[in-house]
Formats: sequence, structure tokens, C-alpha cells
Amino acid sequence: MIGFKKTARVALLAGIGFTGASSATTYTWAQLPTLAGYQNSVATKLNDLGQVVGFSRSATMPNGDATIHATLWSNGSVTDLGTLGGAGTKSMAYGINNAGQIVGASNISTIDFQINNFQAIPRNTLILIAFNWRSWKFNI
Amino acid sequence: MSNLGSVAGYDSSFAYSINNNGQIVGDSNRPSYNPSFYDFHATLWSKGSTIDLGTLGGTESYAYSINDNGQIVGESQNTGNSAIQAVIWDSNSTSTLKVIGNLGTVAVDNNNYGQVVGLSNYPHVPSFATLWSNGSSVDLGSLGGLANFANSINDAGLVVGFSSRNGISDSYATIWTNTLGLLDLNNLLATSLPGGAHLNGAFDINNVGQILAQTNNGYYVLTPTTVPVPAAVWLFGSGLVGLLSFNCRKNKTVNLITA
Repeated sequence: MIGFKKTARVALLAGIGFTGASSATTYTWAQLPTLAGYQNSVATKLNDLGQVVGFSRSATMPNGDATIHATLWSNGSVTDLGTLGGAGTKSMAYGINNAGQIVGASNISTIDFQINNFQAIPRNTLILIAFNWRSWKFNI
Repeated sequence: MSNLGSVAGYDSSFAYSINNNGQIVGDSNRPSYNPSFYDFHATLWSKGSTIDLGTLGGTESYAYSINDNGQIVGESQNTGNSAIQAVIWDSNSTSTLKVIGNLGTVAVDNNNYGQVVGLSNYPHVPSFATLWSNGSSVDLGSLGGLANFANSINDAGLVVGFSSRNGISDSYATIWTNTLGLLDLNNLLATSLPGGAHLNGAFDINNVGQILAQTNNGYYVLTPTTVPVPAAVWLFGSGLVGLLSFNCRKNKTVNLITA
């Protein structure tokens, strides 16, 4: 059954000019280090130069809040991208292009629910994911 | 750092993607202080303008990715907010919001050849990792469980995401190719991860074939060990050069894994 489905799929895609691999490669890996002073991090995007963006989360403070800062991993170094300032203490990076331009979000007041509702990693529980698409995809 | 602002009348925004021409997509929201009331509209920031991309008639829409041709993909609620649907906008003609998936679909990424990935059957289980390509919808398969997600597609048509093996309670990072189908990325690592960790999700694949993946203990960049072959060479060998002439892009080198 599985073999049949795969064959049918390949035939379909070949017919529409689809490109792909002829066999699997193997992969080496490199772990992204945590930003100094932070507890953990979430990575969201990498560009064609291998630069990665995401965000880093501090240890939870007594009031239950945490500092979250947009983060760049590039050529072995980890950079705190900061925030827009104001009363906000949270920023997150979600996109980077091949020119190194980075986009995301930064709260500028403490009532910005999108970021205050942020949940830290790990996000491996698919039960939550299946019923809250955005919580899974964007960790918000 | 600069503030992109939001659509007029909205008071917060989120940017998810920037293409190589500096065009940005995300969403605008109001009012930001009330988490029980959502009014998100997909938003394009382009050439100094902030543009409300609108919805299919429902309350919410979200734009998650913009490719270098200005094609934007995301999701929108339909009229009555009974379901979401994967949609595509053209940044050159923002009135042309088009549906690309059935009810319960979400589009999360697109490549420069107009191929789109996302999921189907949301918010139910099983969820299906889905590829939309040239008008066809393809189920990318499963590792045996009920939760299957596609997160990213590169210009070689490789798709990464994750799938569960048992129900919906676990997950494994996946890569899909049109010839090999869905593979567990954990089986493709040259060496084991420290502490017996496993990759539980892959979130992005770039045009060099590098993959951004997650474990329970942090994030990893995976780099293919095989030297990538330029697409033009591979296409010549496969006899597909003519078929692809309509969407060839200037100075674009497409890499893919091969053996």
C-alpha cells in the first residue's frame, strides 16, 4: 500500500515538473548556543547564508514574567537584538532574508497580549498544537 | 530597529516573513489589550506602505510567508467564521485574495516556484501535511501517527516538518522529497545527538538544504553532507528542462540533496 502510494505520487509530481532528491543525504548538526544570561531559546528561521533568528527567554521572575529578546545566530556568534524600548521587555524575531534584514515583533507596552501570552519551549505536545495552530507555529 | 506600525485603526502587529526584496508580511491586531477578542488582518509592508490584505469574509486572516515574487500565503476565516482556509495574495495586486485549499487548511510557507505547504483538516485529527503545487494538492504522508505538519519548502521542493508515530502525543522531525516520500530526519543524522536526544520538529529549510530543527533541549542547524548539485544540471539529466522554463528565475541557483 505504501509503495503504491509513493509510486503514484512520484508519477504525479514528475508530470508537473517537480524537482526533488533522488536519494537521501545525511546531515551533520550544530547546536545553537543560548544567549549569555538567558535560560533557553527558540529558533524560527534560517536564511540561505545559514544565519538563524529567534528569541531567548530569561529565567522566570518572581512575578511569573520573563524577559524575551529577539536573537540572531550568525557565524558562531549569538547577538541580542534588543527591543523597541518603552515599557516592553519582549521581542521575537521570525524572519530573516538573505540581506540579513530581520522582522518580528516587540512589545512597547506591558499590555501587549500577543507577546505576554508567549509560552516557553519545549513545544513538543501535539495535543495542544492540533487545536491551537498559532501557539504551535509561532510559540505565542 | 524600527517600528513597522500596523494597519490604520489597529494597534499592534506581528511580522513573520521578509523576502529578498524587503517586502514584509504579518498581521495587524486590535485591540491588543483584550485577548478574548481577536481581530487579526493579514498585513503587507511594501515600498513604504502598510496594506490591509483583507479576509475571505470572516474576522481573521494571517500572512505567514512572502516569496521573492511577492506571492503571499497564509490563512483566512471564511464568512461566518465557520472555518479557515489556506489563501494566497499577490503583493502586486492586493485585491486578488484566492483560496488555495479546502476548509480547514492553513498555508505556512511558499517557495519561489509558487509551491505552497501547510496542513489540512485543522483543527481536527489527523492533521495532514499538505503540498499545493500547480493546482494539485498532495498529502505528504505520515510516520504512522495522527499529527502531521509541513512547515517549510525550499526552491528544490524539499519539505520539512514533523509527524507523530503514535497518536498525537509525540513528534519526529521530517523531510519529504517527491521521490522518497516522508523520512524521519533522525534516521539521516551522520552522528547521534548528545544525550540520546531526538529531533522532534523541523521548522525551516533553506535553499542550500540546511534545516532548522528542534529537540527537547535546544535547536540545531543540520547541514547536508552531500555536495549540492545545481538544479540546472539535475534538470538536464532528468529531461525536465523544458517543463520548467515557465518559472525559471533570474540568477537563481537551486540546490538539492542528491547522491
